[in-house]
Amino acid sequence: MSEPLFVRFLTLSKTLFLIAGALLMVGCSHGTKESAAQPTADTTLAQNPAAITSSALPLTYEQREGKYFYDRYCAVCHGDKGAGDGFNAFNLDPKPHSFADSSYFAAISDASLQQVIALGGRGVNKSVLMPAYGATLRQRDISYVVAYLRTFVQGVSPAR
Amino acid sequence: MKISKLRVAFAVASVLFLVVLAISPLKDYFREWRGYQQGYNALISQLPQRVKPAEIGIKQIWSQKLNRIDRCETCHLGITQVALAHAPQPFRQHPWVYHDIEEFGCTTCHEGQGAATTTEEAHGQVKYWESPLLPAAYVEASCGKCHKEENVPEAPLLTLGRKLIRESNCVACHKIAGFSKQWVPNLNGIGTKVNRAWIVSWLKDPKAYNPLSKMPNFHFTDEEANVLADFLTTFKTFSNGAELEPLPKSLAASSGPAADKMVEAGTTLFREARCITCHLVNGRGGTSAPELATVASKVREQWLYNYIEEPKRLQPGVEMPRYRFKKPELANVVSYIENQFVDYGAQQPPAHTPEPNFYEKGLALFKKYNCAGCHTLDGMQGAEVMGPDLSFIGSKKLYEIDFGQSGIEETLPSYLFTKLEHPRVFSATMKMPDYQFSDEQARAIAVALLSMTDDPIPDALTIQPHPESTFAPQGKFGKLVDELACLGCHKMEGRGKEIAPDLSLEASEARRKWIEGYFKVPYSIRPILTERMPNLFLPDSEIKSIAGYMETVFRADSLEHDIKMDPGAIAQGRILYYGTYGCQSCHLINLKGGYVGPPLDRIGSRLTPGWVFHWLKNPQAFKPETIEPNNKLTDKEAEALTAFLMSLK
Repeated sequence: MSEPLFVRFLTLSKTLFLIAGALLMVGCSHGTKESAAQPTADTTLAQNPAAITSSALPLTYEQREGKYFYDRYCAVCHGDKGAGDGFNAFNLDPKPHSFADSSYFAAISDASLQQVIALGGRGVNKSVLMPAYGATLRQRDISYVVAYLRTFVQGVSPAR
Repeated sequence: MKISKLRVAFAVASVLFLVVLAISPLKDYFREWRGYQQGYNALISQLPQRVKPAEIGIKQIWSQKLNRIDRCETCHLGITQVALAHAPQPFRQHPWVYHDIEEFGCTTCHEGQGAATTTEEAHGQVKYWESPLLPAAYVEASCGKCHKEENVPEAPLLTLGRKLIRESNCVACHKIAGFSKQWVPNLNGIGTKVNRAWIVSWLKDPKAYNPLSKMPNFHFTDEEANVLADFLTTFKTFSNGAELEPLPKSLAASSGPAADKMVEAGTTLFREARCITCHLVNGRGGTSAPELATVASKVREQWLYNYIEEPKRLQPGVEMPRYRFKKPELANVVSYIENQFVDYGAQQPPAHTPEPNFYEKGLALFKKYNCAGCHTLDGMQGAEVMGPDLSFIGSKKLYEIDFGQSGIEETLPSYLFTKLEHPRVFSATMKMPDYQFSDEQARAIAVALLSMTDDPIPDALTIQPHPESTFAPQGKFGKLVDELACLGCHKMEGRGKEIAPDLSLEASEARRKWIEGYFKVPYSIRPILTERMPNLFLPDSEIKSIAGYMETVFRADSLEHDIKMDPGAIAQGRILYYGTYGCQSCHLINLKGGYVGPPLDRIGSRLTPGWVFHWLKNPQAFKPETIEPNNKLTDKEAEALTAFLMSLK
C-alpha cells in the first residue's frame, strides 16, 4: 500500500517541492563532493601525522613479501638493490642482469619476468646459470618478487 | 467565506502533510552510499572491459562462523573485480588475500563498524566505537587473532613482533599468554666476577658495552647506578656454592719471554676454538654471545679461568660449550684474553665510599625495577606480575588509557607504538625500561600486541602453536650435548636453535668416517658463513660416542637408495650438472663456480648417495629454508647427477 502511495506522492509533489528539492540537492551534492574526497586507505596515513607518519610503510604488502623472497633467493647474485652486483655475481659468466637499467627493464612485461623466474634461464633460451624457481616458489610468490623488482627503478611503467 | 477559509486551511495542511511525508524518502534518496554506487557505475562504463554494473542497494556479507555482518561492499564495490586493480578508492580491487572474503568478512581483519552505512561510522572514527579501522601498517595484527603460532610466514611484521616479545623477555614483568621466560645470566657471585666500576657503567647504558645486549636501559641516575652497584657487589658467592680454583702459577707473570710465548699460543687456540662464532670482538663475529673487546677490564682473571674451564658450574644454563682445553692450554687462552681484550681508554674510577645505607637503598631499587624478574639472585624474588596483564591488550578500551601530555593521536596502535619507543612518555612515574627499539621493531611488537584480543574466535578457526619438542637425549650423549651446548646452534628432533644445520638425519646424510674426522678439523663447509663450527678439542672416545649415537638414532632408513656408478651415468650427470641445470652458479668444483652453496669437491667422501639422491629430488623436504631450487628431476636424472657427484672423492 505505502509504495504506490509513495510513488504517487513523489510525482504529485514534484512541482511543489522543486525549490525545496533544488535546495536539498545543493546541500546533498555538497555532501557527496565531500565524501568523494573521503580519506582512502593511503591518505588516512598521511592525514594522521602524529604517531602514524613514522610508521607509514614505504612498500606495499606485495612488495614487502617480494622483498623477503628477493633477499633470500635473488640478492646473492643480483645484489641487494638489484644492480647485478651480489657477492656471487663475479663468479658468473654471463653476469646477472642489473634491474637498475631502466630502459632495458621497462621493456620487459611482468609476465615475462615471472616466466624467467619460474622457468630459469634454460626455459627462456638464456644462460642456464639462472636457476628455475617454478617448482620451489608459488606463482603468487613469484608475482610478489616481480612487484618488488619494479621498486628498484622508480617512475618506470612496465610494458604490458 | 467560512468554507473558503476552511479550504485554505485544508490546502495548507495538505501541503504541510506532503512535506512531512517527503522527508523520509528524500533522505533515503540522498544517502551517501547511493552516490558511491552511481559513481561506481559511471566509472565502470568508461572501462574497456565489461564489468557488471552494481544494483543500487545495501550489500552485505554475513560471516556465519565469525558472527559478523559487514556492509563494506555497499561502497567498496570493486573488491573482487580484477579490472579495478588500479581504480581509485573506494572501488579498488582488494589485493590477493589468504582467505575468502565472503567467508571471513571485512571487519574480521580491518576492524571498523561493519553494520554502518556512512563512511565515518563504518570506518569507526566516531565516538564510543572502540575498534576503528586498523591503519594499514598494523593490519597484520588481525592475522594473529587466529594464527597463534610464533612463526607466520605470511605476516612478517607479526612474526618479528612475537620474536621480539620472546627475546626481550617481556614476560618478566607482564603476563602474556603463550610466552615463557628466557634464560638470563644469574647474578650470584657478581661481586667476585666483575669490578664495581664496570657494573656502574653497564647499569648506565648496557648497549655501550655490548651493542647486542638484550638488557634495556633503565635511565638510572648516577646516584642510583652507584647504589645499585654497591648493593650488587655484596653478592660474592656463586650458585650452588661453587668455589673458584686458584690461578695457575704460570699466569702470575704478566711480562717476559715466558708470558709472551703463552700469549702467542693462546692467540692460536682462541682462533682454533673459533670463539668469534658466538662472541663479538669489536663489533665483528657472531651474535649469540657478549662482546669480548674489553672483557679483561670487566671480569677478574680468576673468574675467567674458572669460567672457560667449566662454564655451567658458575653460570648454570649458559649456552657456552665446555672446551676440552688442558690446563696449560687454558692458561694460554686466559693470558691471551688478559693481554688483548683490555679497555685502554678506561679512566681510573673515582674514589668511592658507599653510602651508609647503600644496601637498603640498593635493595629498594632492585625491587622497584623488578631486576629479579629476569635475573636470578639467591634470596631475591621477582614480582609475580609487575606491569599490566597484556593477555587481551588488543581489546583495551580507549577510556582506560591515559595518554598524558603526549599529544599523540588517541588510538590504541599509536599508544602502543609510542609506549614501546618512549616507555615513560605518558607519565613520570612509569617504570618500564627503554629497549631502544627501532621504528620497525616498535611497530612489529605493537602488531603482535594488537593481535591479543578477546574477540570470540571459534576454536576450529584458530591455529595453535606446535607443542614444544621434548627431545632430551640421555646417557653419555645427553651429557655431551649439554656440556658442549650443541643445542645452542644445532637442532635435534625439533629442539635447539637454527644457527647451524639440523642434525636429526645426520647419519643418513653424512658418512661416519667424515663425521668423526670433522670433529678433529671442523673446516667450514660453507666458506661464506660467520658462524662456524668451533674446534672443541674433543678426545677420540667422546667423538666415537657422538658418532655412534648419531648412527643409531639420527637416521631414516627410507633415505637409502642404490646408485649404480657406471661411467655412462657419471658422464650424463656431468652434462646435467654443467649444461642443463647450471649447478655451477652456486657450487664450486675445482675452484670453479659460485659461493652460495657448499663446495662439492670430495663430496663423494662426505655424503651418502641415498641422501644426495633424495635431496636433489626435493631439497625443501629436508630443509624448508634452503634456497636450492627444486628442479623436478626425474628419478633417472637424479640418479645420474648423484653418480657424478659421488664420483668426486
